[in-house]
Amino acid sequence: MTDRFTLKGAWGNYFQFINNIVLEDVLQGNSNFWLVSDDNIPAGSAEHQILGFKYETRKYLFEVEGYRKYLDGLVEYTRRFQELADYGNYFFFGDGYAEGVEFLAQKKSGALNGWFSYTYANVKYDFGALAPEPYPASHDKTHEAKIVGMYKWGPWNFASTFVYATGTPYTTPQSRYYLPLLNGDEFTYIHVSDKNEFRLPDYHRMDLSIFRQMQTPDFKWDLGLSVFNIYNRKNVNYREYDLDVVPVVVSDVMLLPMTITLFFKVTLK
Amino acid sequence: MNNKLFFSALFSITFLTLSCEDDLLPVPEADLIVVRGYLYAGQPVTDVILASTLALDDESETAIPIDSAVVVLKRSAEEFVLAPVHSYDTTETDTTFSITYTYPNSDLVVAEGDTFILDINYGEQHLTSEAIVPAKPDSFSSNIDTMYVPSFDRNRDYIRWIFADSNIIRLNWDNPEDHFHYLLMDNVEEDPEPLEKTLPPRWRRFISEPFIDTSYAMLASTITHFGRHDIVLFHVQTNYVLLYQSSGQNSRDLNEPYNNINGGVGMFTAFNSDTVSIVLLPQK
Repeated sequence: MTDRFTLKGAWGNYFQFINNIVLEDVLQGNSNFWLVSDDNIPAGSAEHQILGFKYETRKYLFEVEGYRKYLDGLVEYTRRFQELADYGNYFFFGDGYAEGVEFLAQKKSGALNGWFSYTYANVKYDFGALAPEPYPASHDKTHEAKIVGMYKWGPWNFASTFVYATGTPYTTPQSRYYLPLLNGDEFTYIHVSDKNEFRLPDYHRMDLSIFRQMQTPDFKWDLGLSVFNIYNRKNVNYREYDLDVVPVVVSDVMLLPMTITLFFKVTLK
Repeated sequence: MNNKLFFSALFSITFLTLSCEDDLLPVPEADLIVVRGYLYAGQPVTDVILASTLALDDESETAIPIDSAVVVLKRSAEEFVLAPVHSYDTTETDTTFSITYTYPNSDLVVAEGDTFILDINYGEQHLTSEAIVPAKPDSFSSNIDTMYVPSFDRNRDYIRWIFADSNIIRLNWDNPEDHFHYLLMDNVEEDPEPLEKTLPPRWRRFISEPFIDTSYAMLASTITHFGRHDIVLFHVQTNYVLLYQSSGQNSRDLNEPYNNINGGVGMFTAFNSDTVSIVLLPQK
């Protein structure tokens, strides 16, 4: 619209014939696998609606973008509701939507540069057989923010990253119950929570790195130190349950703890 | 100045997050009510049982009965408040305690075609479910009403007798719409004598699984005692069949059984039945 101000919008209908299928595992965390669409597995499709604007100068960039995506042909594989499956006892088909707003502020030049980004998102899946109401998708993160800063001081470069995200939803075994049948048989059941009813603790970490470049007539030397997750935040990846023992053993499987990396690179000129 | 502000902000965030580690509860609690509510056409309401779920780390092998719920059966505009009845079943080794919600008055007659709403209030929990009383089985009959049992000198004589074609009890009924039924056979004598004394004591009761058919051939091996036996053919609703078929949970799959209780787990359903009797007498 002007040299600095840009208004942008997009609409698109997209199809994908290789399905990324969620494999639900309440006891050991979900995973994913891929299957080609065929007569039984529908192709995935999405309608994207995007609207945003950008304000950019030589030193700064500000960008706001809102989006809404209607998703169809979602597939989930679970063994929990076999009699209700859409295909082959284990495959369930559903739809959903993803909506959100993304904000970006960037300082592009100068000794100190970096950016701040924030996303508010809401991703809901609707699988009627798995839950009576739409539920948050397993990768849904309501708030996600990232701050990246880089500072150049002579031959030294400092960088810092801070990441924060709302914990992802998960489904958990919750209780045990007995149900007698008319023939006198009594079965014990584990009751599982509503689909993705709970959320893992929020994810956050900070990374720092120091990096220095040196030059000799024949070589270029890079020397650096980086620390991932500097305050050793115990971010939970997923939860594991051992239901074969009483009391039930619950373990949190963690993501990477504090990790220190020292690097040294020599390059011929 | 700008640089100082930037780094101050960054480090402030770092130390703030350091001080707010989230605690995850080991297992989020679920305090649900488990309902087993069975209505029988023509019979008083005596089979509504409520229990609570157990925490995953609870080692109890029996459910905790609930006796302070407000349980109401609704039929159109009529409301019938059920009352908890405590009972103790004592054996040589154990005493079992149970609470059954029953309707104490005589103005409730469960009849074919009735639609009942089960309404339960317990603390802040509100549970509802619906059951329709099915039709009575049509033209239920047995080809035998009396069996004479010879005395058996050897086990193999008994075995031969129970598998003889002439001793098969053939039960028949009409079922043009392919409804599900199940069979219950009960020895109704107080202290019946077993047919074969050398064999270990066995149950005096037989219950089949739900099935769709118009006949059932009951081997004499099903009958273990002398005296009168009532054979009851129950017409069952599909929801009980779904529960029966989905019973038994795989600890890997965590597949829960079919459940028709809104706000809880379990089953509320109704049955209708017809009965024939058969008497086993010693052959003289």
